[in-house]
Amino acid sequence: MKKIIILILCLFVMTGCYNYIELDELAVVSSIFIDKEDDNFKIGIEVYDEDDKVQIFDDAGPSLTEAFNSAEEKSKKKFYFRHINAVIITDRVNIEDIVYYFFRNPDTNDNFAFVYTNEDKIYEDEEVNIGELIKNNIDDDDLCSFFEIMKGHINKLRDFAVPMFDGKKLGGMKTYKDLEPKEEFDSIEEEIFKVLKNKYDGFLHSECGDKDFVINIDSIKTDFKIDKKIKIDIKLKTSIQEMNCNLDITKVKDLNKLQDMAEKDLEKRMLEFMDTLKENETDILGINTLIKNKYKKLDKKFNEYDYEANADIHIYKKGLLLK
Amino acid sequence: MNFLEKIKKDYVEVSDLVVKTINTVNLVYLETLADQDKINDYILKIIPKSKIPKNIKNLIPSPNVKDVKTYEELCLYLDTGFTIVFNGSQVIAIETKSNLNRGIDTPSTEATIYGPKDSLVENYQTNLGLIKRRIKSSNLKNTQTNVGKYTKTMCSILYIEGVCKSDLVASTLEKINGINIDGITDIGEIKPFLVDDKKNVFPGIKMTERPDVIADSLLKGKIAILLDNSPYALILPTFLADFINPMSDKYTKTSSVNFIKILRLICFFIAIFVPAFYVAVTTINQETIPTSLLINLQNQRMDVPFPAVMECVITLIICEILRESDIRFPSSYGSAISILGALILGEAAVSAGIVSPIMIIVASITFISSMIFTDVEIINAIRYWRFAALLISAIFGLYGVGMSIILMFINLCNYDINGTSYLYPIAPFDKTYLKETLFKMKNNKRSKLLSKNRIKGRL
Repeated sequence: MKKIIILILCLFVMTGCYNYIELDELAVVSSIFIDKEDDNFKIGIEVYDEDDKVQIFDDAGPSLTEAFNSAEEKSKKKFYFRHINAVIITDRVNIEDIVYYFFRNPDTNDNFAFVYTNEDKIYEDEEVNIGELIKNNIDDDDLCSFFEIMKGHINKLRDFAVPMFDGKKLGGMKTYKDLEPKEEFDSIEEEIFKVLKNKYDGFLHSECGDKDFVINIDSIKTDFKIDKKIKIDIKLKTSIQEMNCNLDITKVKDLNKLQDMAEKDLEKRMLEFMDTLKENETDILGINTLIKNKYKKLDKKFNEYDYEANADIHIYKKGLLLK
Repeated sequence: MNFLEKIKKDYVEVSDLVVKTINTVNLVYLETLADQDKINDYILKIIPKSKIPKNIKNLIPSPNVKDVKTYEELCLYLDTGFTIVFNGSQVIAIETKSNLNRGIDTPSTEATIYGPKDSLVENYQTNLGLIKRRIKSSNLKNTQTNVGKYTKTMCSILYIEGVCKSDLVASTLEKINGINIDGITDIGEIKPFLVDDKKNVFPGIKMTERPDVIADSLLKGKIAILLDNSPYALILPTFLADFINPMSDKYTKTSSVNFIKILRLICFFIAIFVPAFYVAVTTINQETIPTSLLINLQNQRMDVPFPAVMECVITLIICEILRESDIRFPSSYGSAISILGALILGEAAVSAGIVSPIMIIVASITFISSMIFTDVEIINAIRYWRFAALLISAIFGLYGVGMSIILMFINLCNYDINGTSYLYPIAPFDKTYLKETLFKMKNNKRSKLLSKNRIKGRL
């Protein structure tokens, strides 16, 4: 009986209440801004507050831990990173430090977004929750989530790209190779990246002479066929969103012309995008993994292949009042 | 000393004892138990004024006349309302019981929308009649015995011969005969003597006031125990599935009742584990709830001075007090208690910042779910496990909730009811009994655990 009592006491005293904390003692973090200046980490922590507002705690320290501890003292509550939406970093910060800091920290979730910014300060208004703004505007968490970044980094075959944030909105993306910053892409190139990743359901801009038109993607299917060349097949089902060209979309003939123009434009842009990736040797699409899966080895990397693009765009005719 | 003298000596300070002498015949009865009209009709009008025959038994028109052999027998008859007649050496007991019973009423603790509206009363004969009206068969047997040294209360085991297993009757009778107490006032007092595992909080025997429930249980192969002066009967063996599935399900359409049965099963777990789950997710596992809900809960709890577990314990205890006072108070005060509870606990406590609104919602869901079960003992068992799970989860979080679920199932599996687990018909699995309890399905067989006569409708 004594043994059982001791066992129960040990069970309760030594294991219980390990991470017991009352809700009102928690500062639920929405996003973190990390910058570096003179070997000091500058951090800004955005914490959820009442009535959809946020509280901002700024601080600095020689290490991330010291900076966080110092900010925590100001807040008088424990920072809770399990509901974090985004970590925003600048190019002055070594992303490796940040990635491994969160990787080692058991009290964080693994699906927050990594976001890049060129700004020195992003938290200016306590009415705007930057973390939620980023989370809600990222089309697909898989592309830049902490988990995906770590997965790509650990298997060494894949690089990654993170969205760029200008303090007000997301636009463009920054690529990283071996956790080192590389090329920046604008929002038009970002569209192509997402199309190639099969993860895009937004609008696609196409040119028709000196004017343009916008199609809305309803469904997308991208396929990489690896042989002597790498062939990219894309099938899109779309509808017309905005029309600025001198074509009459109520005529089937003109509509087919529009489809052809959109296909050619997309093919051209895809090949240009692939050329940029090859030049920088950043495999953000994970093509090396596909090659290794097919040949069981990686004798020839993605940048050593030639590429061929084939786009098949179908524009829905319903609702166009065709003549 | 003859019997008459002995009665006069033993009943010396019993004020209602009447000893009446007509010629050579002596009548003895207790006027509080005996009916004067019956004494007049059955005895006084019949005994001749002169030339009284040696044997008067044949003259008595009462349907129940007994020869008395021993003094103990005589006392038992006298104490149950019989009139003892001494005619020379002949001693006979004539039934002249007065009617001290209330009429048959509607069930008060097991009310249903459909189904019979009669319930057992304090009179044993009436109760037996209510059951016999439903089962018109000579196979319906009732083995009688007396319980209590002083009260000598009539206790009867009812079963259907050929349907019920005889060893169950024999073992129950043995247990009842082994009861050695001064007296018994209600059938609830017998329960501890019939259950093997007395420490378990879940009830091992079902108490019912509905004759249709008793009849249905007897037809399944179970036994029922009736006790004089008790408006309840015991049914055994009973399992958890019997408590959470009332008899009224039989009177409702199959398709709709199966949904209710699943809902009831869910409510059983809600009633136990919702407060534990709430404390676990608000104090230890905050990562498991969506951010917007977490912020909402945080804002609600901002002004509450107590830790979540204390807030939960306080609210649940106050609800338990409310429920208990509601049961004990006369029904006319019931609405006052409800208003007091709803206003003071619900509105004022939240306004005063003593508890958070979400805690009121948690307590309400818990109590509404537990109110689905009518049996007081199952509610008590739910309460016991609710507090146990709450304390474990306050220490270990969701891991503790999981632990308490496992502990409860281990406890239920270990609970021995006549050699079977309390979780029967799930563990051990029995499709036949499952179709009658946890689900309502077409079933032509009886459970092999309860009956040797497996096919329904076969004598």
